[in-house]
Amino acid sequence: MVNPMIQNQLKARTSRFLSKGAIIPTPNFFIPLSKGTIPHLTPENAEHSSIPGVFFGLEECLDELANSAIAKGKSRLEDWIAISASVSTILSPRRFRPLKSVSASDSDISIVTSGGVKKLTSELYNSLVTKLQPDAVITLNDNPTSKPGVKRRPKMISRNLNWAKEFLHKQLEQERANAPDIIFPIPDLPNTYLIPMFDKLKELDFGHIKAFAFFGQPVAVPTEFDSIPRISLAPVETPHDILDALENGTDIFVTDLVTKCTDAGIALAFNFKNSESEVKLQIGINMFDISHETNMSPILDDCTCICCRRYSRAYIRHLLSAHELVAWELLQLHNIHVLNSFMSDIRASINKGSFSSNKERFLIQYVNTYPEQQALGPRRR
Amino acid sequence: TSALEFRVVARCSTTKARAANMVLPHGPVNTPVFMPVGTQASLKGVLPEQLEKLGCQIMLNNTYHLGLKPGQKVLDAVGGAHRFQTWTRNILTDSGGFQMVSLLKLATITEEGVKFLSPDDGSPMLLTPEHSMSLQNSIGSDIMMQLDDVVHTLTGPERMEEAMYRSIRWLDRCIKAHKKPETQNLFCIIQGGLDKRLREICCREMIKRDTPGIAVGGLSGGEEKTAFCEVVNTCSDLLPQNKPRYLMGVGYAEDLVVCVALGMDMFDCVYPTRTARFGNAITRYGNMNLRNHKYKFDEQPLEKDCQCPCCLPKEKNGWGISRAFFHSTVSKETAAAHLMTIHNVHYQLNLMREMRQAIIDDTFPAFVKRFFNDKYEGDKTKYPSWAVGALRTVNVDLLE
Ligand SMILES: [Zn+2]
Ligand SMILES: [Zn+2]
Repeated sequence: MVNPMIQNQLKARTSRFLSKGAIIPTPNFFIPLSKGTIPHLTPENAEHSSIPGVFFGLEECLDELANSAIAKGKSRLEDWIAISASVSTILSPRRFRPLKSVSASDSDISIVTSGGVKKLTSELYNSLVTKLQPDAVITLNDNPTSKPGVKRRPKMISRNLNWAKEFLHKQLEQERANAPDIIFPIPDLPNTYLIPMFDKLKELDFGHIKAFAFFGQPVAVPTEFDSIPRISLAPVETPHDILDALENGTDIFVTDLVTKCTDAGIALAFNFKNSESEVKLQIGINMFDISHETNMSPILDDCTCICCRRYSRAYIRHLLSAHELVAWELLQLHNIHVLNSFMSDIRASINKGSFSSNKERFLIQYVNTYPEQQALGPRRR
Repeated sequence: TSALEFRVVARCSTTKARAANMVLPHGPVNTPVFMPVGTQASLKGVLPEQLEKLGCQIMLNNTYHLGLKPGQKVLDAVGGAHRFQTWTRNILTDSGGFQMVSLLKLATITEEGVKFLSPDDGSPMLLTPEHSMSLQNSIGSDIMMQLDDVVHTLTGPERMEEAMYRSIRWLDRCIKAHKKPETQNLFCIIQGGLDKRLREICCREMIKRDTPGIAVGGLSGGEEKTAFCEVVNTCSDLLPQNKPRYLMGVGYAEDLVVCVALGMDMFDCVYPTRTARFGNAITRYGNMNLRNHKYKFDEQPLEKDCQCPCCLPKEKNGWGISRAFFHSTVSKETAAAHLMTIHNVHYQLNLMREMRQAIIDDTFPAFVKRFFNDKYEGDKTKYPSWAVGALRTVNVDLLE
């Protein structure tokens, strides 16, 4: 069978994600918040580290649905985020890596909150979005955590379409200047389900759709949708995964890779500058290691992050071994900086047309695993 | 020789409060001063640059903890605690003795020093005055404390007297063992429990040793507050005017205000930083536990008009953190602990700055009255009677 929609071959590309005045060059990454915080960071440090954007899973704060603190007060979303208002925010019904929940109906989905499993209706979700005013929102979606059966699959598509339609209507009715940008959710389903979905989407006023959120790897989309930014929620664990995702057409990926490394006491150490080193390089440094005990050099000599400009490996190792909170703050700052530089070098490389060869060199240069993890994150104690 | 300058710049005309400019090897310290505690070469959740921005001029490190981690060998290799934690301002270290006695149940005290079992491998170890000095010399603290024989204030009179005299003998050994008097200041510690006679003997003996500064110790064990204030009064009457006076382990806001009025200059306490991690905010209008359900929908900042970055609204380039946000994140997110620690440390440092300014303006008694009025929301019946009594001894009547 000829697939009518794959006319565009997916490949790494550069572009820009425009959201509420913010211009985010792509490819780039968003960091999932944890209850409104960038794990370990105070607002000014979050700001100094130039985080491109953050991902807010609303279910984390919906312990009592409409009676939750975030829902009842007059606050906007920015009052629930401990970072400056200049960082772009994507609101999503569920958290990144949601806990297990499978049921949904045509009017609601099950979410897992600190108050137990609750039903989030599209009505409540849409009204909360209107009040909270995020920069961008992933409309309500049926995205079961376990593999859906054949009966569920077409329902996922039709629900996502209906809920997006409802949301669009509501937005158009109110014509609010600060209405959030709409991100349409695309489930991780085979093309046989997605082709009719894209057809239906064409009937929608898709000019309002600012991005697609892919729950699996991005797939090729019909030509008229090709310029719409593709956000991937498929987890990436290593820089190798990132490179693969970009080659598959991802423009923005949401990733907790940085926080996971930080929690484990690992300092990221890779770059996309393609050195000529003949030995295999590590992608991360275990900062817990005794070898740093009296090493007064920064984590990376040429790193310009807040951590490396001032603090030594010896101090960070001491803080980790003494279980001092600022250990994770410093590592988080460094790790975000490394990922930021990596992405910026990748964009330059794509623009120069040398992405494929740079990627190949990267794969030869770096191992694809992190060093053994010794430190337990402060929150996992 | 001494590496300390101390100049009293203003005296309250009513109480014994004073404001002074102290200069230590790592810069100026304006007193009265509160010194936040960074036990293991780090203030819980606050980076050195954040602590600088809060206006902190001197912090504490604990010798006992640094002796274990990173250890003396590493401290020597990296050139001391300032360089290690990139803290360019002043550091005060304790002797390590108090930590041992309070943390290690099996510590025993002999004339030689404090005997204890290593928390690493259980092997018997000994902290002598000489060893404590050697550790503090490796740390390179601007103010180091003598090893003293600390006993609880409720200890019997014989043991109390023994501890007082032993502390004097240990001071002599510390002075002898101190290798860097030209760059590090050794403070003596007045002991003697709640016994006025012992405190007086101790003051007189230690003043003779002419250390650059003098600490009053053995008073943070939760003793009866009136007796506590009497001891502070006794000591402050005997201590020389031209030396800084450090009241060890004291840091509740009320205690700070009263003890400044009684003539003390320097204070330290883990309370503001420790309590922040359990969700307790210290404010001008009393303390609050943000885990309490009543804050769930409370969109106000921790403290109205607080100038700390957490409480300042976003329009004023602050972070605009609400009580409701704290309620939902406290004890769940490390960042919430960082934020509340910043607020609490700001509160303590700001309280000291306000007191200093009031002393300089000679409006300190009015400041003290306003402080208690705010703390207890104008309800004089709630004022602690020990504070009312202590302040009367320095001519301030809270109830009038
Ligand atoms: Zn760095
Ligand atoms: Zn505040």
